[in-house]
Amino acid sequence: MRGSVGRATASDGGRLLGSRRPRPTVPTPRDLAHLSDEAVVALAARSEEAALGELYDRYGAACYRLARRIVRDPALAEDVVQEAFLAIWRGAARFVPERARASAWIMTLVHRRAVDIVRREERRRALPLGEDHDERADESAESVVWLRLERERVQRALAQLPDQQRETLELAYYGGFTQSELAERLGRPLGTIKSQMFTGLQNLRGLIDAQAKEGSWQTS
Amino acid sequence: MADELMHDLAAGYALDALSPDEERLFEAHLAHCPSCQAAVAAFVETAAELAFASPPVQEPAELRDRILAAARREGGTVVAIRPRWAYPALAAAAVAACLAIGFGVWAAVLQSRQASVAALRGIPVRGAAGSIVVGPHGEAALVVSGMAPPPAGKTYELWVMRGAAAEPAGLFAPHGKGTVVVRLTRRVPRGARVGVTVEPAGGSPRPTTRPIVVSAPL
Repeated sequence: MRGSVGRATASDGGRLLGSRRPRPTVPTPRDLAHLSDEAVVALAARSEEAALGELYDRYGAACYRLARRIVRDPALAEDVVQEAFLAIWRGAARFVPERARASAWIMTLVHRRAVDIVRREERRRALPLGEDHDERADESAESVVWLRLERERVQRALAQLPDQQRETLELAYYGGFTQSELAERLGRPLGTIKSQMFTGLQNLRGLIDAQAKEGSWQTS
Repeated sequence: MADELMHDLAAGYALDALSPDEERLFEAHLAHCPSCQAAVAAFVETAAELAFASPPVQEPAELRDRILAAARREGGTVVAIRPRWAYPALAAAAVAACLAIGFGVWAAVLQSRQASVAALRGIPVRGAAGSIVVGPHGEAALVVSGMAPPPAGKTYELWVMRGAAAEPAGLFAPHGKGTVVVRLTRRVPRGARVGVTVEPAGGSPRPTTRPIVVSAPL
């Protein structure tokens, strides 16, 4: 690929629309493992199927866990993840690395679809926000160890937030409630909910950055 | 809604916690508010961290193959309509908002974010920051941002171009540098391109200048 990790330009459009014959320079999956997420997205933008597979290998498990947490239902969660990856496939050419990390983009695509579904399934959302542990993943595999570390890192930051900020963020993000619904459900003024979201995200960022600086997430 | 009220929506937007109405209003605001764009960019990164706090569950082993098979069936021709992340090239938020305006009845479809959004396709253009949005039956609109107004006494004219033939598809003249949505007056068949030329005010039956904007084939 010789560093051609930029976005597909409009002039690539015709070619993208044309044949999909394999190019001699298509990297093998093994090569992809050494590329940044953003570079792999750029390859996906060129309709490189291996790149989409690589993104799934990196984030598929995290995506499925998020989808499961929000929609609860395994079949719906699969649909969410599949839709999100097709959105990656279609939208990769428009992804702009300067604006966001690819991982954040991917998780946002999943989150958005999961929330859309859970809002349609009112009944499901009425369930308490518990965590499913009935079919725990085997986390001993090396490939998912980082997921456990990531989870512990974010959970530790969340635990340090003031209770109401944490509650607001969790119900919004995992529960799929809108800010107006939260105001009603929690019996707080809408302005309070908005500022709890605002301050909660700001504080969370600060806590996560502080952890990263200390490296404290490496120890448990 | 006042701008200060809009700024308050940035966190809720990043958490996908706005109602459809709030979201539409905020996206329209976002398109021309650099400080909200910066706030959203930061909040989105932080919100995405929350994804990783989800409890461990085992993903189905066959999901990967299913996704790749579905991607293969789609090919590489479709550009997502709702690229929340692409606003440098083309304020994507503005596109989403303007699509709703430009497509009338499709607004409901877009706002509800249902699967039928897939029926709309975005086709890249060269020469301007924007795209052509095409419906299932060739209905199309040009969505561009930052295009200067045409010179005095001139207009922009849209064309549906097939090979050497070009058929007029409407006139437009943006006033400012915002985002404009122009619905084409004729449907665009598969394989045709959409172009824009500068023409004398009132338009021309055939292009008299070289196109300044050309789309990829639809």
